[in-house]
Amino acid sequence: MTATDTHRVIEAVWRIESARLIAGLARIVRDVGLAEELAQDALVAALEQWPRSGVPDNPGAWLMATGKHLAIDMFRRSKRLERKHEELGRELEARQEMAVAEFDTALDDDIGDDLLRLVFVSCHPVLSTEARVALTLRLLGGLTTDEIARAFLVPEPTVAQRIVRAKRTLAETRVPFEVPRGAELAARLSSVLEVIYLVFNEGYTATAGEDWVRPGLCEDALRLGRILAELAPEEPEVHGLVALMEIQASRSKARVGPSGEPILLLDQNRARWDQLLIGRGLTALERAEKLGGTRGPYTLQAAIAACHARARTPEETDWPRIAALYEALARLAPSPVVELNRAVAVAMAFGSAAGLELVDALASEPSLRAYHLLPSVRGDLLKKLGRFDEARAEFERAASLTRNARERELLLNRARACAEGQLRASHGDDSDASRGS
Amino acid sequence: MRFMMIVKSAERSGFPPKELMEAIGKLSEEANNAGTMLGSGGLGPTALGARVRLSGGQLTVIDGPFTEAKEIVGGYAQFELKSKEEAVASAVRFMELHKKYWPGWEGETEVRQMFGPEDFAPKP
Repeated sequence: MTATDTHRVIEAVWRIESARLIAGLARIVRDVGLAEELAQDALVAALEQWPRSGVPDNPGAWLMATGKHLAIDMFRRSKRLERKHEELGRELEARQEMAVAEFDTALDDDIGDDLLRLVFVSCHPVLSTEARVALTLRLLGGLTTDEIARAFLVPEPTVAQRIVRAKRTLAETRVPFEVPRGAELAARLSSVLEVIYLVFNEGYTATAGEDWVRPGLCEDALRLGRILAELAPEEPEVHGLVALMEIQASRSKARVGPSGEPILLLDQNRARWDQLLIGRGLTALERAEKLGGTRGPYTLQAAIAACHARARTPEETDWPRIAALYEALARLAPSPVVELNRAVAVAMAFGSAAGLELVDALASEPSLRAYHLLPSVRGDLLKKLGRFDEARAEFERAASLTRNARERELLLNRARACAEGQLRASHGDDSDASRGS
Repeated sequence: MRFMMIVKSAERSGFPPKELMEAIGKLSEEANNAGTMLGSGGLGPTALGARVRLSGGQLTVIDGPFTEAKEIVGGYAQFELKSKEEAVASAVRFMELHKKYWPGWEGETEVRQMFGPEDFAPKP
């Protein structure tokens, strides 16, 4: 094996092992920032030694042992931390002996718990959302600062700063390295899920053809979600989020056309949906629902996504069920956007007039004033009801609100089609549509 | 990046030892918990299968067993990983288990990258 090969192997090992390594070290030194530095030092040692000695049989255990030795050395050298040294040094040495004995089995039982602690600390509410995202990708996703910067389209020093500050904040506020319990757990868990879904969406909304680090975020988020689902198998919303992400990711090949244009769900070629991911998503949803209790927002959204995933053709879509799920979601997390989606589902299930009624109720909603999908949906329903003139005005309004050139073109085309529809309707004398049935 | 691992060996290798199956079970569980293994499966004997071949403009259906084949595909697994190196590392671990628990067994794991959405993206 050449030195370059070894370096590439080390890179791969780092991807696989870094989160567990940092988590294990953080349990010992009780400081996430310090744990990451020690893990990095262990990596440097591997880069120095492995090209000469060859890659060890169990590279993860080697890194962990090295990291722990470095921790002991550091405590011994540090005079300022003398007292901590006494406490921890003894404990460490005792642990060290135990740990070495355990390395052969490779699977330290505590590692799972350590990882879970690391997830909760990285997503601690004391940090800003940006900091949570950066720290989670860095410590748990094994991404470099440069990769995170490219993914979020910000300069690398900004990300580096965010991570440094986040680590400092965690140390200064003495955030304990533990999994929250009782009443705190629910709030803290929702912060973790929010970070993971944010990472996923950042990747999902990235336009194709750009730097593929961005869509790579979907995979990072999925991987984090899947890990979390095994670490916290009793939490239904974790499975709900995983189900939602698996099903959304299953459409990634079908949602962009040959020249980069977005393809709407109902227009997608379903043969290009990834059935492996759909299967995984449906299984995760089943796990969430089996755990019982009130379905949370992620599980409800996953259940909606599952309705689409189960339909082999758009016509087979169970719209009444989707409408009911949106209603449940609206009760749980009321939002005008959810309400608009419910209106679309109601229109598909029970007719355009019923949908229009819900859309009209949203007309005075201030947060939707500049939201182009409101007039776009309204235009669609009016057109189906044969009210072409009103529909045309709505499409034109929607076109003036969207910032996406391709979408604007699409909306203006639909406005023109309405004008033609109006012409035909006024010339025909027996058009049902013109009576608005 | 998605990878397909294809495991090949001689068909008449006999039943794998229980220890190997247990070790593979543990490895699979680990990969599943790490969010990297998407799915896997084992294939039945070629006696239950068939080949549909197009050659020289002629379609022929050949029923199994495929006695002339030296090695046949016995199983597969799909992984989501960051690099080919990660995939090879994963296949090495899998084969190490065979080395340890099934002395004398010979075969290979073929590591193949699958096309992902990025390969279908329009070129900028």
